[in-house]
Amino acid sequence: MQISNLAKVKELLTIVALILLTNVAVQAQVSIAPTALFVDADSRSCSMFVNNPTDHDVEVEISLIFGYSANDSTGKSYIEYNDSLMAEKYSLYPYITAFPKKFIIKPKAQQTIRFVLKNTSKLPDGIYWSRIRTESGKIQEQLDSQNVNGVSVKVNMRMAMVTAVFYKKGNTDNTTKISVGQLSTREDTSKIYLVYDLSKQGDFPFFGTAKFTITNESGKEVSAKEESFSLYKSALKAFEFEKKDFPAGKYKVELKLINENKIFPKEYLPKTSEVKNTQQIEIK
Amino acid sequence: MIPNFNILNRANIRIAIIAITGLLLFVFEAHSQSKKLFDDNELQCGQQVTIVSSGNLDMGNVLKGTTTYYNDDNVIKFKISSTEKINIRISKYVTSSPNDGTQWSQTWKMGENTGFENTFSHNRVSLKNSNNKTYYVTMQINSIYVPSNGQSGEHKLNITVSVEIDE
Repeated sequence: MQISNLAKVKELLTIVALILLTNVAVQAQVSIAPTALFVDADSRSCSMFVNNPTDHDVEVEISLIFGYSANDSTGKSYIEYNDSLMAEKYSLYPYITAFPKKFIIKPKAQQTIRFVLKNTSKLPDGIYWSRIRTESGKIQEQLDSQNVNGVSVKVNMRMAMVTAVFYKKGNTDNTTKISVGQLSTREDTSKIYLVYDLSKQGDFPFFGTAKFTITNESGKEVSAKEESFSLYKSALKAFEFEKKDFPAGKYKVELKLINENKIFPKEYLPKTSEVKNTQQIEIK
Repeated sequence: MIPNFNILNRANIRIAIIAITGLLLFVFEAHSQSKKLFDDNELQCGQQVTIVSSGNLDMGNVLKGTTTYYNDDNVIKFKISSTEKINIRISKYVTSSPNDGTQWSQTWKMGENTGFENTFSHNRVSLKNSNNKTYYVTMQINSIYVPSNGQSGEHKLNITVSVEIDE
C-alpha cells in the first residue's frame, strides 16, 4: 500500500515536471484578433490586436496584399494572390494604410494596429478587401562564431498569420446569387469530397453557409454538416466528408446555401433567399 | 512498524503537497497568461488565432566536410489554435543561408493530436472548420551536412509557418 502510494506520488511529480518543462520549452507565441476586420464607415478605420504572452521581445511586421479565397480545378480552396483583374476591381490595398507596420512587442504586452482608409472619394460604391500578413519571430541574434573548421547551425523560426480586411462603401446591398450546377465526387484514403460546380452572379462575393443532409437508399441519414464558406468567383467547390460514413451505395445529397456567416456583419451578407439543391451520388 | 508507516505517510504527503503546489502554480501561470491575452472589451467583433512554437533552435556546431545526425528530440513544434471554428490553411516555407551546399535533412509532419500523424510533404494544406480547433505541425532536423568548402560562421535554416484564415 505504501509503495503503491509512493509510486502514485512519483507519477504525479513526473507529470508536473513534464508539464513545467513543456511550459519552459515554449519559445514563441503570438495571438492576433480579430481574424477578419471590417472598416467602420464613419471612422474610416479599424483595429487589430497582436499579443505577446511570452517572456521575450517579439519582432512583428505587418504587410498588406491583395488576395481572395479561390478554388483550383479539383475544388480545393487556396488564397489567390496574383489576380490583377480582380485586384483592379476589388483591391483595398491602395486605399488603406497600417500603423505601425514594424515593431517590437515587449513581453506580456499587446500592440494595437490601426488601419486607416485614404483617398477613397473616387471609389465607386461596393465592396473592397485586402489581406493582412502578420509575420513574427524572435529578434535575430548577432553571429559570434569565428570557428574556421566548423560552422554553427541554427534554425530561424518565423510565424505568419494572414487575415482579411473588408470595406463596404455606400449602401449597396449584396445581391449576389449562387446557382448550383453538377455534383461530382472524388476520394482519397480517408475522405470523400463532394465537388459542386457553383456559379456566382453579382458584384459582391458570396458569404454564407452550406448545410448538407445526406441519406442512403433506405432514407437513413448518414451525414449532416454545416460549413461556412465564401465564393468570390464561379468555381468548383469541394466539401469534405468522412469516407467511413459512406459504404458503397447510392446517396441523396441535399444542399442548402444560406446567407449566414458568423464572421461577417449583416450588411455584408447576401440579401438573397436560400438556395436548395438535391442530387444523387454513387459510391463504389 | 507503526512509526515507520507514519513517517512514510508524512513523506508521501509532503511530496504530494509539493506536487500539487507545482501543479497549482502551473495552472495559475497558464491562467494569468490567458487572461492577459486580450481585453474582452476590445474584442467585441472577433475570433482569435494563436500560434505557439517550441523547440531547440540552436543545433550546435558542425565540422566542415561532415554530417551531423540528430535524434528524435530535435523537433520544432507549432501549435495553431483558434477560439472559434474557422477555416485555416497552413503553409510552410523553408530556405537556408548561406547558399554554399549545406544540406539540411528534415521531416515535416502534422496532425490534430500530436503533430506526427500525417506527413506534411506539400507546401500547403487546407483544414476545414473541423470541431477540433487545434492543429500541430512538427519539423524534425534529421541531419546537417556542411561541405568542406562551406562558408565559416553561422548557417541558418529559415522556416516560416504561415496560417491563412479563410472566410
